Amino acid sequence: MTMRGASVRWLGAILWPSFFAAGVATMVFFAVVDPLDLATITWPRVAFSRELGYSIGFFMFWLCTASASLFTALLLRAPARDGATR
Amino acid sequence: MNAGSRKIDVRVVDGGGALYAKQPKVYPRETDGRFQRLRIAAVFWLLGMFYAFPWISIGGQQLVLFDLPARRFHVFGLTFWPQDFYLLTLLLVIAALSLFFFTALAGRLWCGYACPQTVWTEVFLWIERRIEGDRNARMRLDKDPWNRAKLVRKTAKHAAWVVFALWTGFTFVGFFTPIRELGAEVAQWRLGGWEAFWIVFYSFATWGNAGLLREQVCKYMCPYARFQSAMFDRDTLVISYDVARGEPRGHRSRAQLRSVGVAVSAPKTLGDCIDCRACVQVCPTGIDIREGLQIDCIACAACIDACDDVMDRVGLARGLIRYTTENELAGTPRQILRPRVYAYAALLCALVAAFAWGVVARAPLIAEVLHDRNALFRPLAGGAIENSYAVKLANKSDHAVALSLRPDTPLALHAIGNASVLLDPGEVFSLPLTLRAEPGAVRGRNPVAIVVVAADGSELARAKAQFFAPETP
Repeated sequence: MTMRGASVRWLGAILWPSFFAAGVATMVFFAVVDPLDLATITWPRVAFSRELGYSIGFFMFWLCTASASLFTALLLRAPARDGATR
Repeated sequence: MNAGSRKIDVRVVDGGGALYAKQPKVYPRETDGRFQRLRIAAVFWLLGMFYAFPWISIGGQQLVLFDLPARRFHVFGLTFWPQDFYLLTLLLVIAALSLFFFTALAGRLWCGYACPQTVWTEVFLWIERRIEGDRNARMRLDKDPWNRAKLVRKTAKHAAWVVFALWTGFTFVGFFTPIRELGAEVAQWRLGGWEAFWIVFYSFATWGNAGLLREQVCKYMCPYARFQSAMFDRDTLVISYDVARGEPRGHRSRAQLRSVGVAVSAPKTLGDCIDCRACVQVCPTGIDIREGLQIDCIACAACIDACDDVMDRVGLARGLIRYTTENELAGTPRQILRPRVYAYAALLCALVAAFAWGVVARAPLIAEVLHDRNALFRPLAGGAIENSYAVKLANKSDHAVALSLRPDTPLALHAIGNASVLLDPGEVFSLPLTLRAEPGAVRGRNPVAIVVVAADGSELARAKAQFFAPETP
């Protein structure tokens, strides 16, 4: 695998587990909370559909989980020493 | 063993600072045999369910429909509500435990026979074979420079893949939107945004995973592949090469082949492995099973079938590669049924029973009492006290229900007016209820039960509430 392959794998290791975790989180969250109830207590004047609520919820979860994965990936990277670039 | 003379498969990685060697493309050779027939049967069964279920309706209701906008799951004529979510959790626990059970029993059965990744890859490989030909033809085609014939074949393959993937994506979304309506929307080119997005998304994932990534999903993306070894022990059935019987491996002449069966007592110079590499060529993950159990092995048993075929042809006993246990290879008798397996099985039975009970005993009606938020109580002229409630009712059954409310309490309370309603199937309704206590009868905070009764007087549901009155009259 080339350098490009390595970075694809790095990206995959961030996106794929976070996607999976976000999917589970969305499922559990919206099983308990109706997106329409959530809409009435946040922006009652904006018309929301449930599909839109699920989608926003999913992408918000994905943003959180992907951020955590990215953080982990950065911590696992060997720190650059003596001015060496990675 | 002449291990010293064995060639080890190593290559120098080209420079450029890359630390990863490019994965050579795997061209699995087609094979036939009892395990391959079993796997094909599994493909037909599993994909048959996937592609057929959305099209089957009973009583006008799609057999399996996860209606997210309406927050209802319809599965085999049963309707599940968000309140039944714990059943889904239980189902996932059962699924996980089944995985433990089958892995402890016979290794990666899931990977080899039932994983969607394997099942769809099998179909994509079949399409590839029909268009590009067998293993040798495919390798030749990839080596050839780009020309007209190659372009035609590659385009045809990807077109077939894309069509199949789109059909898969369409079916997938058909589990969430009634598939007949979805079909009409597609036909009239007026598909909703999210539906179109998920069809394309799932099609792309199918095409990418089953067409392009294939064994790399199992090697690099699948978490199960990483932790399944924790469920193995020395009594787990695994696909293994019989080193004691096979080594030292080596080619032999035709004359030697025929003599092997006869001259068993003669001192053998070679083991039973004729080093034909059939097991390597059929492997969908491109490993050599003779090097021992590896994390890349998805237990598809293609090598067993290929080796059995070769053994039949050279006149040796089958089973040089077979399902066996580590203990058996080491000479101790196999013991498949062991405490670990019994423990998993018992736990699994208990959970399945709990799940079945949970499905059967689901309450047909949900009742929830909300006390009036504005006032705890309302004093009337003359000293009587009233409390107001909103009773949220949800009819989870598939027929209309006529019901009324009454308080069940030792206190001297009675309902004002006639709190009754007729609920359609699946209807959610908020029914107002007012309870009155006669002057001086009740003080302070008192728990009461609100009972929902059907027209025939039977109790359908019961909810808790509080009745408030002043501490001092």
